[in-house]
Amino acid sequence: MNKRSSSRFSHTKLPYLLTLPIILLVALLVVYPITQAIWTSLTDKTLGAAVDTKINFVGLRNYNSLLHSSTFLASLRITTTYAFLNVVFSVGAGLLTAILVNKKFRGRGGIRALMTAPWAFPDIASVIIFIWILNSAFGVVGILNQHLPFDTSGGWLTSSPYAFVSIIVMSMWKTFPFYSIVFLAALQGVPEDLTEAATVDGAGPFQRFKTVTLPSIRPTFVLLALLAFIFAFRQFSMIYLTTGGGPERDTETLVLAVYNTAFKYYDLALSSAIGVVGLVVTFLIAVVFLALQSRAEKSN
Amino acid sequence: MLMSKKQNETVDALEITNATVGRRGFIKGAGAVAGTVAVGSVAGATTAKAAKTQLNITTWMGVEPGRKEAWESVLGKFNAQSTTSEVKLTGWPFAQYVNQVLTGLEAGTLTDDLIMSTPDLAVRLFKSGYFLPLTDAVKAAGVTPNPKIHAYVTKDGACYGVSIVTVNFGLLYNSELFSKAKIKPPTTPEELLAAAKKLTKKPNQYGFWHPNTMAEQGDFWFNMQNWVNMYDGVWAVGKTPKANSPEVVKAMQLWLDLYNAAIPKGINNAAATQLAANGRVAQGFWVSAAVNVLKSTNEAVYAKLRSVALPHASHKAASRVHPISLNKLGKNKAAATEFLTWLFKPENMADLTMQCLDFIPPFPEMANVPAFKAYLKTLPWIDGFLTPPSVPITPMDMMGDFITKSDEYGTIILTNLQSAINKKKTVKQAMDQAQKELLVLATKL
Repeated sequence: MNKRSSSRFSHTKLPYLLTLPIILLVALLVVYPITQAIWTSLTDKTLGAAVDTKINFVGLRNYNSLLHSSTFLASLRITTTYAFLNVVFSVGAGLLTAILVNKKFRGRGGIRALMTAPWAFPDIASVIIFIWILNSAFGVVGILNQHLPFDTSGGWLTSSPYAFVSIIVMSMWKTFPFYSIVFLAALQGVPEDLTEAATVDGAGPFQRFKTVTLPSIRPTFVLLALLAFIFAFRQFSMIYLTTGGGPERDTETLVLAVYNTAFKYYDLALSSAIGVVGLVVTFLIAVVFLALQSRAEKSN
Repeated sequence: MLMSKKQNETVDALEITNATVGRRGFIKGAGAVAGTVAVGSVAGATTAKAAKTQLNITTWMGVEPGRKEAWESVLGKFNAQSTTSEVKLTGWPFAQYVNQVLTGLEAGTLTDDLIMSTPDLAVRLFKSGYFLPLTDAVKAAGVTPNPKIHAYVTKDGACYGVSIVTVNFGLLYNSELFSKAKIKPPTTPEELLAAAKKLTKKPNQYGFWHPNTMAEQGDFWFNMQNWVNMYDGVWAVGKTPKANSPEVVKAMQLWLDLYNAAIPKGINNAAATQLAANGRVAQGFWVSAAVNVLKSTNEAVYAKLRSVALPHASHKAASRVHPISLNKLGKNKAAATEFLTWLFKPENMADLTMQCLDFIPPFPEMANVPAFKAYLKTLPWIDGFLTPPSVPITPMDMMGDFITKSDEYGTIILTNLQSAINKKKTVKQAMDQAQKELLVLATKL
């Protein structure tokens, strides 16, 4: 009897007990900060207020002011554009390079290793390199400026629209190796017999890619697109260190707006509200991506 | 090994004899006790070390070239003399300093006993009640803080911060580059622009230094804030912004003309300063503290540095007073007061000031220290920094009630100025737009 009840315990409770530490950890590191941010966004809390300042509940006032803030709406637009272009260029470059290095050729191992270098570089080092490369007076790109058909004398990181273009290029350079490695792993899992059968049936390289390779790697593709979007959505260090959100707020993404509002304008409540909106947008995007993937799987 | 009570008393007495500073000696004025030298000095030293209170000063100066070494030298003297306290510097670089301090205080984790502040931060912390009065230390040191520069941290006759460094803006220039070009330092805005153009040979030499990237917005605004003085303007009067006043628009236009003609664009502050230290930038509106940074970066440039007052009729320039204060959240107020008392002694403050290459005394008593008087005669580069009017123009005078929203004000000005830099608007149109945004900001004051 005792043995039986002990066995039942282990079947019913043990899994929960074993997962308890991670549940507590997630609650501490994820649920608590999010709850705290949501709560703060409903108050008038500021940074550096008087020692005995009372924090007041203000309801949705901060969200209302965001709805009427052209700066915030511009930030939202800039963030989604930046994230979308990141998905297109970074994931696209990752896929193309993965297809290339999936072919057999001499020195393939070396090329694969070299390709991961940008991803391995720390953000700060990459940023410093780019700042110098893009400097109009001292940088390599400065030499090209004279030969370009458009005026970049204002600087690649300090004038519109080049600052935005520059951060897209930097982000692509920094992140495509990760996508490339994951795509490479997926490509190596594509059944060779299917590809060979398609070849026998007379399919060219593009048709083989469209009808065999792409469907096989679609789950990876959707996952990476989602990850790329989320990574770009929360990108901070590269943008902050290169453009600081300028010029004219052209590169001020939501994450930068959160930082500026909290630590430059000392408005913790409004900053939390921006953060919560960012969280909701990311969540919705994730839902859409996953729904698309689910529909694709069903149709297959 | 445990010591007897008598041995302990003897060791205490010995500490007072050997040290020039000790809390007990400082507070009670106790004299030396003779005839006890024979008692184990090693044991005494160990006891004293173990008993020392650790004091931290939150500051950005611990990472600033030149100033870091000066502070370490002065603190070394205090630490060697004091039997009761040991002081060290903590903190963050200037660009992150205000954020980190505010966040630490808000979280209750910044419990360092002493805090240094920028003027803007000092106003905020003073109003928020984070500072304690320094009356005891000031009295014990026998000094009278200059009321002109300490008014903004004084309440009911009590001073809540004493300037650890006061810096003025002036036109600092490389005399060698001016001599080679056979031109004299400018005295008017027109001469300034003409000189800057003549001294620019891109990319090898630039006629003017000024931070200009939004990635280092703190430095950009720190320097830009002073420009309003060029035509005797202000950024705000009370809660009324003055961003599109004729004075401000003219000052911004002058800056833009210099930017287009003579300023190294898009490089970070450290790199621009490196250019200046290497003799590749002819002039700039700098605070006097920059001399120490330039000297520490390249000793050779120091002999070439000279200064004149800002090139406009009234010579008005911003003065920035950086006070040291007792943190309300600190744990060792008595020990911190003891250290401040030592530091405020005119000879010690003079020592610190000289090692930092500063020259504006926080209290008149320091000006009478013979070594300081002699030191002032060895600084050929200070003339321009001494010329501003006798009543200092502080950030509070320039910013009005926006002083507690200075960074946000700066963001609005700089962001709109960029539309003029990018030739989308005229300076007037850009400042009109800034004025509109500032009027909205005024409602939050």
